[in-house]
Amino acid sequence: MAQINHWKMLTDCDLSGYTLIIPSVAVGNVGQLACDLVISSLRMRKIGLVYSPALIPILGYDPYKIGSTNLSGCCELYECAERKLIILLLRAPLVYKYGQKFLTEVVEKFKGENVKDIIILTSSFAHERKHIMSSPFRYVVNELSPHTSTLRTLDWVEHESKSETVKILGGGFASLLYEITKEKSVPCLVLYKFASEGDNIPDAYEMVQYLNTVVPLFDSSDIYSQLVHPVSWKLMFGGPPPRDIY
Amino acid sequence: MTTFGEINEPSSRTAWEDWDDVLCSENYVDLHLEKTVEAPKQIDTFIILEGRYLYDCIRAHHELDLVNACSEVNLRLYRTRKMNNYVCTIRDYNLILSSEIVELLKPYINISTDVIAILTKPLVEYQVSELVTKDYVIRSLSTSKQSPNTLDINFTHLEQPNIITGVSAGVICWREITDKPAVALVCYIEHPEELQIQELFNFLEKFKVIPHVEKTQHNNLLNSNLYI
Repeated sequence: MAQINHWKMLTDCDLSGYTLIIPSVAVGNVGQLACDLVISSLRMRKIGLVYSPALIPILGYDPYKIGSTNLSGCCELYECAERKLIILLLRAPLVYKYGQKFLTEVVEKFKGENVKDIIILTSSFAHERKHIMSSPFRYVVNELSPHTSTLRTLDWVEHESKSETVKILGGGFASLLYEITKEKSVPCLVLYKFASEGDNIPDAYEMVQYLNTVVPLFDSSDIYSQLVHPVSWKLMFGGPPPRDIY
Repeated sequence: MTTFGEINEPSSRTAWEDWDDVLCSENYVDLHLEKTVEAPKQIDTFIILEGRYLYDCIRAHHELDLVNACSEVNLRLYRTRKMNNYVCTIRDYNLILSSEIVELLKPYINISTDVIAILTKPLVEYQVSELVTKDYVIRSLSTSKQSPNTLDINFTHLEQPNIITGVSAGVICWREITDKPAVALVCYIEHPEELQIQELFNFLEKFKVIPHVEKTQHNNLLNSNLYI
């Protein structure tokens, strides 16, 4: 089957100089939750949607606006012109068979749009954290990234790679996407947190806080008070208990 | 209903395909429709019936002609005898194959004036802040372009954070991206084997998928433990 990915841009935007954030569908969905928080808090504008055989389809109404009648699919592009930030939010996992071609097209498309850099947010299995007293965050950066010098000044722990290729266990497509950015000479930073399945909202908050250090999005004095929960986080742990039990 | 005290943890989707294990690339499936039949030039309404309940609703009737099938994903494609409508039934398939199934259906979806997808989901998955006391709940999702077909009942829009997944979701997404009308009806149901959802039966009758069916009264006695 020929793999054709359809990009529908809702508005004409000059994306040159923008930072593109892509969350990988990973353990605890930490990257996606962090992006949800950023989109909701910065009231980012939807500027495009993507349909691809590489994406497992999901559909609902706008997860950031209650009562909205605008459909939301599994892959959408959001923009914040003020912060020169775009987020390509994936709400469902990629199909492995079509993943590589889809991700290559994503990198090529945004390279063509002259984005400044790509940041991949993901997570890894908590049991993979060998040094338990160290920070739960790790990063991988290529030499082209504009954040390399900032990262050197920070007390952050770099990902330990046992081989030439980066392998983030439980990190979904993050490793593959990073390799593609390297191959296509696109500046890229991967930020990940060791996490377990469960209530991953605190992980998302921490992820946004870490992200804010390298890409200033919020006033750093009190980030948490500036973050707004999206509507889609409502009822994450189910509805009310049945009345009959009392 | 959710059991009190039960914690519904949001589960990660990484378990679906193991991206850490490259060996999963060996299990690729290429889907094909069994017959090489050309799609018609035009279809009035393309109806997708997803799930076992809907399949059981239509299989006893003989208003449809089988056009094609894909047995790997339990897909059957029918043409209605009395109208220029096509019906696709699908059940018990691997969710990872959803987008590939949508690709199979594209020749039919693209030439249809309207697309209506109906799917069933367990009532426990319906997330609202109020208690649900009904046996079933029907909600709708519509594309920006309005459907030319008027449904007799105005179904309430699906409330956030509820979502649908799978073939129906993929088809509606595709129609949205191509600026064509489509609507999905999602029916949250608690005991599918015991219920006749009149709204759905009326709909299937209207599009000549099934003949007129008299409403049957559910007999609680037969389903009780009194007689085995």
